Amino acid sequence: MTEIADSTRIVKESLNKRYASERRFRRLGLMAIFFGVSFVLILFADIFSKGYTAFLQTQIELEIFYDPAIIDPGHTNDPQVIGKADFAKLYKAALKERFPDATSRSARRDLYNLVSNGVAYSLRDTVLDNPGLIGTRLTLWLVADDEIDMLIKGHIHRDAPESDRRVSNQSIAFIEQLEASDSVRKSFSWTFLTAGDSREPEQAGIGGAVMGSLFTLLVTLSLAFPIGVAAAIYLEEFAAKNQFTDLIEVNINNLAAVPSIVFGLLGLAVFLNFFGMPRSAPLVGGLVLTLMTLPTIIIASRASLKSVPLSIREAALGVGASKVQTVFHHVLPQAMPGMMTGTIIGMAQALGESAPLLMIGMVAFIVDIPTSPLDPSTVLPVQIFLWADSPERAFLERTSAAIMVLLGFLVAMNALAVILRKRFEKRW
Amino acid sequence: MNSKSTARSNSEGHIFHRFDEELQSLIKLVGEMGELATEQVREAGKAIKKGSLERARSVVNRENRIDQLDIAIDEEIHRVLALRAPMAKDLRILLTVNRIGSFLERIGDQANGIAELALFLFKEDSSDPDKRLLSGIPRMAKYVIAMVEMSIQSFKRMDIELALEVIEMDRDLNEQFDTSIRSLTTYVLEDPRRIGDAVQVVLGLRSLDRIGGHAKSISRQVIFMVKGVNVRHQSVEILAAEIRAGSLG
Amino acid sequence: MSKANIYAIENPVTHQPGWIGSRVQEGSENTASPYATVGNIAVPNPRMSARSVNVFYDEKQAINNVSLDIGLNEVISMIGPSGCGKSTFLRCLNRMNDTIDICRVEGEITLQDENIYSKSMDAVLLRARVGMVFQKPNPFPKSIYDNIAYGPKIHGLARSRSELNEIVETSLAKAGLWDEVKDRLTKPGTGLSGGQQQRLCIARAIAVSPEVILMDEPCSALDPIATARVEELIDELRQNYTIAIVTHSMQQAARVSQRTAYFHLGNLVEVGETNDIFTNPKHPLTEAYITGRFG
Repeated sequence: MTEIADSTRIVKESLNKRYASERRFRRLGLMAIFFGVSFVLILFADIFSKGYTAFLQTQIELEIFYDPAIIDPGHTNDPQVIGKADFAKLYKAALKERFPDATSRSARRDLYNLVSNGVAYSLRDTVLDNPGLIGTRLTLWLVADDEIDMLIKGHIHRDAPESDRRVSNQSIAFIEQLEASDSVRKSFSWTFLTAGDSREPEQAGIGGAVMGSLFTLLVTLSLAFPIGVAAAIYLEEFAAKNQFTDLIEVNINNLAAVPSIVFGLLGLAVFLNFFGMPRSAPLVGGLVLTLMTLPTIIIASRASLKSVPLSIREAALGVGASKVQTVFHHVLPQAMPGMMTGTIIGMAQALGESAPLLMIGMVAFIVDIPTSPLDPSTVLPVQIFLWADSPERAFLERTSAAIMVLLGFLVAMNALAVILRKRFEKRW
Repeated sequence: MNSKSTARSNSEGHIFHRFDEELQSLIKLVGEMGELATEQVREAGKAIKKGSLERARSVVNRENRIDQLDIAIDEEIHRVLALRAPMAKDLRILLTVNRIGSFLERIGDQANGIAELALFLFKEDSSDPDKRLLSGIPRMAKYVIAMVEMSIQSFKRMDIELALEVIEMDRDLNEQFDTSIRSLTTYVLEDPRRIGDAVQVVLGLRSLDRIGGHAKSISRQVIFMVKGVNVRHQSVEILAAEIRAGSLG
Repeated sequence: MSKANIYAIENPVTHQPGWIGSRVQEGSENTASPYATVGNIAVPNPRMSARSVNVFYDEKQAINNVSLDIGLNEVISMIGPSGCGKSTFLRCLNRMNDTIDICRVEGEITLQDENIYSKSMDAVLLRARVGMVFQKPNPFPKSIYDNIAYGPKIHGLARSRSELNEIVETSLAKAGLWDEVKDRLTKPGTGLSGGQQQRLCIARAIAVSPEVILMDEPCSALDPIATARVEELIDELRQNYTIAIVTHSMQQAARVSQRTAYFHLGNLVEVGETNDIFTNPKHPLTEAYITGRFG
């Protein structure tokens, strides 16, 4: 009995110490989480505060006269002729009309630079779509030049000395006049979401990069998922366990750790140089990313196959199902959610990858939005890389905005992973 | 705490150490009861031989101790059967203990009968019976006591050859019984006035014969326990041949 | 002498093998030759019959020269300490061991005089003829109906939907489960209680009309009441099926089987009528195991 009393006392004495260490560990854990979360919040706050303005675009209200003399002097109504007309003259005329006092050469230049030169193309397109506009007058909101945009958004300070800013006093005077008559506004910029890349920030959009990413991922998914799952099923369920399969397993695990740029080099050497596939195409990007994500998918799929309880296989074999029936009727449905999660994680990885794509030329400046996996294009992370490199102030906010779009994609994909998991995972 | 450390050091025996202890205690009880029953038979025999009313009374007084042991054994067996669900040899041991208990109880009853015979024969208000009339009883008693002791020994040692000896002794006992009856008959023919005592003595001889029979039954039960073969109704000759050839079971 | 006797004080000499209070130990002089099985391995009307079966996992021998008949419409139980090879032997009977790469089976096992390890015997067909019920109830994560219907479906046993319905109903009825589940056939099989799940697994095995049903510790995950119901079911199934059951519960072997085989370290030590094995086993190892003096 004395022994029991003694041990009770000893246990009691050690309790405080043990609880103290538990409390210490809890505090440490909380601190770690706090640091992690605050870094993420800081990052997000920074990106959002810099990037959200890119979704807005400054516009200037002008009355445009679709002057037949400029557009179609010969009244041919021939689109060929109309297409060659100098539509810039239309908004220049409108600006001259609005500011008749600006007569000096430099004043004229500043005046014309208020509006983005891309406006000429959008005017041409509307006329080509609707030739009936010729000869009419319309009040339109025209896209402002990126410098003006920056000025309006406050990124360029009006009180700074003229030599320190890229907008002249003259331009500011014009803008202030326009503002006085409520002819300047900021509206949601569809251009940013739909347009392709451009030298002019106000005309640059991520539409091309989004489409490029989509095509690339489509190629990756349609190759990596079936190949990865098939490889995993074969290795896990059918292949004999011997030194050769062990070797394959080790190599797959090693491939998952290979730096992605190596896959880019491989793609360059094999797909472009050897097979002669088109440079900068999402098809090649997808192939390269397939190589990169395959190990991830195979490893995740094998793990999820392994986690299917042996009892289910035995049950199926026990009633006389063949190996293939056992795998496809019972094991695969159970393993599917895990495989999909693995695949989507692999896809998310591929979505964020830029290094291997640089190697196969997807870093080129491409204005057109790709319409097939064979068209040259770029992808979101490469677009971000390109914009981050551009000197114009307006590209800074576009970089942040593109990162926001990329993050949005990643969140959406992870959400999809969760939803698929929930839907396919039958918890009986 | 002490018993725990023993259990750990002792790697022999049943996985439930308690079960072996229970079996041991049961076997000890049977041994105790066997000794007591033997003692009762011996004392009853001596009471007749020496004409001692005192011994006879003490036998009668001790009778209920045998009954108590019988009940104790019954209860323990009941408990062990219910809690341990023994199998094979363990089960046979318990069944055997159960039967031996009831045989010993009956042996005690017979001893009691002999003691009561002594009380009847050596009544204080009558003359003692002729010694010749009684001579068969101590002689047979001695033989029967040996049988009972051997049968209990055979149980304790699980010795089927000893058990076989007891079974074979029963034939000699029957001969002794017949001899005693014959000499009694001669005596009664000589002196018909003693016929009442003679009838009582025959009953005493009969009791001893029964005790021998019980010893034989105990021995047959021991053979069942060891070999798992029921030999209760097998002839002694065949049994002896099989045991000696080692072909039993 | 590695054995002790609780009566050693009384008489240290006259003890015999299998003595109460003495635990039989490995390698003691009592251990009979590992290759000789005590008792009659043959029956007059064998449904399955194993002769000189050796099983190896890589180089390690798990079953050592085991010969045993499984009679028509009998329940034979296989008992023995863990790792004695009883489950391995059971799994040889429907070639479940085929799925283990390192497992190698030697010897001959016949089902109705056909060697199940011959090239002409297909493992899939064999498993349709020799069904199996496992230790843990393992219904498919599908509905109760689909659980039963799966086997007949893949084997093409039912030509129409109504035939399939009939198979499902009779199988469930034979397993004594029909009344309990007839109103919830579309509910998941995994939603049943443990005992019901195991009877569902038995019904699933019955559904493909096997000749033999192997059961690998079918009640070890069940409570006593569910166990009793499964045991009762096994007893009923004996009318139409031959059943081989591996069990850790000696009481269960005693209750459900007609013959009992005792395995020890990959050897078939003793086989015989269940009555005899549990009242008067011949081999000291069997005796030691049955009376709980083994370890």
